[in-house]
Amino acid sequence: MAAPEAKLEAALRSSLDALADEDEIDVLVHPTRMGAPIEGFLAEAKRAGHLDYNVLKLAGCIAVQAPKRLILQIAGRDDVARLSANPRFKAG
Amino acid sequence: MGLFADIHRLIGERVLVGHLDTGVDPNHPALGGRVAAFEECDAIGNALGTPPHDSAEHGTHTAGTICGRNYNGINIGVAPEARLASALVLNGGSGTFAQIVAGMQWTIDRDVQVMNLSLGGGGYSTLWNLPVLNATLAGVLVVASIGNSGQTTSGGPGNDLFALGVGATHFEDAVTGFSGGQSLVGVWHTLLSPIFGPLTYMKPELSAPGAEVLSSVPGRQLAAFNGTSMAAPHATGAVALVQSSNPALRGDPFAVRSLFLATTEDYGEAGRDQRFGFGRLDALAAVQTAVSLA
Repeated sequence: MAAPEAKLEAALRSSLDALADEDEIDVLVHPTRMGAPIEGFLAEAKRAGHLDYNVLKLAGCIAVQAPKRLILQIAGRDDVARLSANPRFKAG
Repeated sequence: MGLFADIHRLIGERVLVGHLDTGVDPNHPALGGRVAAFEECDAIGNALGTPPHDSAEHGTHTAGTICGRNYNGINIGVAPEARLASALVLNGGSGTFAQIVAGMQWTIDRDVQVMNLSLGGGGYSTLWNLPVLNATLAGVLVVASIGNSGQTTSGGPGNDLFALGVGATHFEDAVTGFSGGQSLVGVWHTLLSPIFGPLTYMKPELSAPGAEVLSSVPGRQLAAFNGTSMAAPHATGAVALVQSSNPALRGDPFAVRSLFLATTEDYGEAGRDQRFGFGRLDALAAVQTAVSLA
């Protein structure tokens, strides 16, 4: 099994390095397959008020907004293949 | 039947266009009745349920070029009978990938026939592969600006293999200096590359007017903007014309794409090149061809 840090895209890793454990960030979670147990985990955490998320079926990934400590916990799961930044795009 | 026997059928009637932008001012006189649906998405793609509005000016301008009506004696829209499913995904002018993809999904769920993305950046990214391919497989042509950083550059999603990337021309039918365009060499595609290996292809597919484009802006005004953002909605409006003139072409983005590439007016180097693509958009030729196929 890959170490959690190995699943983080380089740009995301450096963003996370600059954050404290409770600082929030939004990321893209790429599950090993859609509908995997990760969605149940996220639903439970959302109900508890720990994070917010949205399944992006069109892109085959899940956008998650959560504190850094939870992002690292998600990266450690077997049903998560990798995590990447949620990049910004401009009108133009 | 003559080409202009039923003019409403030829100016976008019954075509719903996905509009991913800064929002839209539905109260602009040029856009009266044009906004059929509206949604705003937050940074991770949650729907916010806000009423139609524009968080900047850009979206009202691109909307006007797609389907704006005559205003102050000026016809600003390419397909004035088309209607919009408009998603606010660029709050104040920028938005996240999740925000844009959620907006794309929302427009597909509204049964749009074509979507306009006058947005982008960041060079080539495989992140766009799945949303653009899935939208295409859902029967929706993805039209996107190619970017404003000049030659040998391009931005996603306009530079995705399955997007119809659009560059900008000016009033002399030359490509503007800011318009992007390049050969993408050895790029990987999330789904295709394991079968075909790295891909090489050229962008944009075609060019359209993108300099000093007069269109609607909030506050009942008209303004002239520059950018490939202004070029893409000309192509999107022309797609709406084609889809209204020949309904059999709705839901067939590959046929529509082929039709447009076959009917462009060739400028610059003979054949396809990195500045014009296959050439400058020729909406009349595209509609005539669509009608002849009906």
